[in-house]
Amino acid sequence: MKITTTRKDLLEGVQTVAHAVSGRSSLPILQHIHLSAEGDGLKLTASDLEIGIECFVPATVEMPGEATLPARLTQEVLSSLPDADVKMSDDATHSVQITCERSEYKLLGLSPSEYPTLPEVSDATSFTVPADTLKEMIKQTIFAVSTEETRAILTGVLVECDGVTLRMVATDTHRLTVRSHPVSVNALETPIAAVVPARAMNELGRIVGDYEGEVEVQIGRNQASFRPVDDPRRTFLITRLIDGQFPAYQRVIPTTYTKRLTLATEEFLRAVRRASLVARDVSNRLIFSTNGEYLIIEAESGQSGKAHEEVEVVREGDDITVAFNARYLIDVLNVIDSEGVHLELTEPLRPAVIRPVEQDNYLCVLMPMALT
Amino acid sequence: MAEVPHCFNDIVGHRGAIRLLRRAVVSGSVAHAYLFTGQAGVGKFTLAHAFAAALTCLQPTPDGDPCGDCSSCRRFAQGAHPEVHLIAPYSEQTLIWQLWEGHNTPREAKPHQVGVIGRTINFAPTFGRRVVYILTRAETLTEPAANSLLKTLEEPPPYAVFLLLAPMLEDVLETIRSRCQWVPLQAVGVEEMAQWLEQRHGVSADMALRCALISQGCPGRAWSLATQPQALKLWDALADLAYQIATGRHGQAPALHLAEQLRTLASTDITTAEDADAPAEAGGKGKTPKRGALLLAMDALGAWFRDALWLSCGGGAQSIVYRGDEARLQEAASRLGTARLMHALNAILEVRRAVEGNANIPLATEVLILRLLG
Repeated sequence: MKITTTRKDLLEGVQTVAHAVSGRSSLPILQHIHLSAEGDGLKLTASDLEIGIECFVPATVEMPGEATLPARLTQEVLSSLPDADVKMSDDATHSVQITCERSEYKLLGLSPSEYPTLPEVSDATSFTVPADTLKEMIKQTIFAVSTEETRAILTGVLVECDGVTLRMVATDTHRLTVRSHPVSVNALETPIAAVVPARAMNELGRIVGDYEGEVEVQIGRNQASFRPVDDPRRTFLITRLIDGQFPAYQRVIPTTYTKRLTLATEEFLRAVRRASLVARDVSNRLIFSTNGEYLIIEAESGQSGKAHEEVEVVREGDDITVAFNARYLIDVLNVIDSEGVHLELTEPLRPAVIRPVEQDNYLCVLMPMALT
Repeated sequence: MAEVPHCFNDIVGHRGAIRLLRRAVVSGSVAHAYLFTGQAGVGKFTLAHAFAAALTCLQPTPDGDPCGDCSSCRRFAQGAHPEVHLIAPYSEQTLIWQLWEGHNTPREAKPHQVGVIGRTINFAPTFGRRVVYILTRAETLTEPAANSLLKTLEEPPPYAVFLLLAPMLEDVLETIRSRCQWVPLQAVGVEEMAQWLEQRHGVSADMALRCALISQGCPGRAWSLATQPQALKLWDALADLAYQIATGRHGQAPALHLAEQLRTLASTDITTAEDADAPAEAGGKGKTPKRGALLLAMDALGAWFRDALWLSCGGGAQSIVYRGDEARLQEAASRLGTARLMHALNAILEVRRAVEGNANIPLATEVLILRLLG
């Protein structure tokens, strides 16, 4: 292998794929990035066998070939080299020489043939989603993912598609987020329901972050892959799916409400955030009660004191007093970009629903806390 | 350890167990969990290893052997199969954080040792057909760790198979036992093992027979004897020591000195199946042998006294372990008589058990010599 490229392009590529490098695999080769030079550039691959990322760096290829490089060290070396052209070549011992101006590094690689190839997505259904929508869908659901390993199925985001609607769902049993988006999938025989690990979703969010265009999604039985269409960097993410049955989440979404509060999102969020400062040592519990045209937000802690906030509210139904975890409320209000939100309630201990006003593609179910 | 075979055909003995495992591979009706029991060196790991290869292989042969050619088998042969997970004790115990992350993980633990089951079990295999977990010493599972496995052992995802290895059935919790299919491994026959050493490992016929006799039905032990000439020398030296003790020819050497001699002999640099995965005994001044090496030495002593007892009962010379040493054995047999030889053999077995149970090594050896002399 012998190539020439710019340090900036190479570093960007290495940084993109390095997110998939394993911190905790017992296979030393998975600490490495796989490089494959052919045609008009260099293909970089990294994987920890849970997720894999591939990307392309334009380069002048003098001699095609393959090599591997230790991810972290390469990243460190590249980021401290001067911003100029970089030459790379390998030798029979699998070490890779990196030359940039008057710096010359020889990094020890491993046999590239040992590097596991990324699996193919088998029996895949594919469709496309605009990158910005995908990014928003991830942002609006992922915070509700559970971090508890004991119920692994909840540590991922459910991606559901019935042919006309794509839905992402996440829950940690205290809250549930559902975001939907219309898609068109041809000839979908059975609805798709795949649970994508939260880590893969975070990486995907990062990859499509600054991309404007469509993303091709492929969902198979055990894997899913995401590829921005027409991306000059040809980034590609593949992830394993979490095996198991996602709980029947529709059953916990209340179908009716008896009281509905409509609030200004920004004002509500600010008030909750302020009041939560006092609620830190009482499990973030905030008490909400309606009083005429105002929603009163209170927190009381034996150690830090009291908070009292009033927010203007439009109320349908009777007065109510209910308690919520401030952190959960902040999480959801943070990702709602409409001006107003609805808070739909029935009884103080029954699940509540938060929806953006005049948007029916998003909702978040929140379990209230006990009042005392 | 010798290169572990990847195929049932290369395994000596254990025909019944192999038949059972092959049938499982061929029929596809594989249990969630298997518990392999047998003494150290008998072949638990070897068998589990071959079984794991067959379970993950994409196209096993009609006999239930791994094909050796598919991508799964190739990775397996490189010792880098990402879906076959080995869980070995972390300093003498198999702890809960090794299985599931986040339970008091010590800071010095290597990332790949942490939460091996928790972070892999929910991903269906992509390289092979199954995900296999081998707990190399299930008897070292702490109670919380064993309990944390119960639910998973009962209802694992369809592609996961657990292989637990332990010396005895009683060494694992009842609740674990009842969730596993039991695969007891018996000692391998002397002739069969000698033949295996000769043909498969090119050991001379004479040596192969001796190693097979000494190893008490454990191919692992026989193999490590055959490849470590110093082990056989130790064996001879111990025969001399046994002879001195049995016939009172130790002269004026006091018992404590003999015990010292035994410890020195057992400190010979020999790798045994017991010591292979145990950390070095702490605080030794060079004279304290590793536990496994001492057990081996005590087996040698025991075998010598057994031979003498056998001869004193009128047994034929063809079934003694110390072939070629008949004259000295006969002398000990006639001098001590059946009752005292029985007594000596009992002493050795009792102290051996104590050493297995983590008894103080210098003290145990001294007690042993005193009892043999008395």
